[in-house]
Amino acid sequence: MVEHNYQIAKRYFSYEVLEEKLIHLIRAFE
Amino acid sequence: MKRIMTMLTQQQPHHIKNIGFISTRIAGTDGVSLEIQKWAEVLERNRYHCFYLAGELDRAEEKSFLVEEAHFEHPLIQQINNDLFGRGQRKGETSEATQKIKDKLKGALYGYVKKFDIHLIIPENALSIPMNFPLGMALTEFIAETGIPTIAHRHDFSWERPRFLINACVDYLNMAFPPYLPSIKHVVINSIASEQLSFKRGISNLVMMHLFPQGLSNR
Repeated sequence: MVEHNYQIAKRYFSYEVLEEKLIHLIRAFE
Repeated sequence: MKRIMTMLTQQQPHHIKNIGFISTRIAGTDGVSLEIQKWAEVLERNRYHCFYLAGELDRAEEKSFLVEEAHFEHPLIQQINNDLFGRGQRKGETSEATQKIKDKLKGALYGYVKKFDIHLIIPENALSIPMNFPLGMALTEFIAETGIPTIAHRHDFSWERPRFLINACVDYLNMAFPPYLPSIKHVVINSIASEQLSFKRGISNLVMMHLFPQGLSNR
């Protein structure tokens, strides 16, 4: 169960998820 | 049509390196301050430079721009809030006080962007929940006047808090909480907020949920 929850968190709440969305958003202005 | 085409061709591409966070308080362990820290970490590891404007700050001094009236606990801001909520009609003095502080804050925003050569701003909740009306209005006018690229990060909305429902400032709320301007991209923290923002204001937006601490991505 812990591993399952960890994988969900990693998929939706990790820095990499933010990084992908945020950098894409900033580059859309350029 | 010719005028629109001329405007489009005159627009310069933005080369974004310096990013300015703006909020009422960027200090301590409240949710907005913590989230700013995480966003800044992600931005800086991608070689962006981050700066901070707020009424209370605990970030590096050389990257900080303190403006006391930006704080929601500033006595003048608290007085304005007391005069605007819990009643249906606004006094002329309250409008004057709001406009006066708004103008001062707008001047500070111009100074902040100039001082750090900021290319993109990220208002953190300052254009979402009316903790500081003059700050939200100043930001809205500043963005409308400059067209600066803006990512409005929204944690809470006024319609989520019962204490804001009876008020004498529907005009201010419609203007700045949230504003609808072409250079603003809107980010919310969950799908419910996303639906409500689209439903109530017709504003399209992107969901970026709050993050787990850094350790998660290093495992």
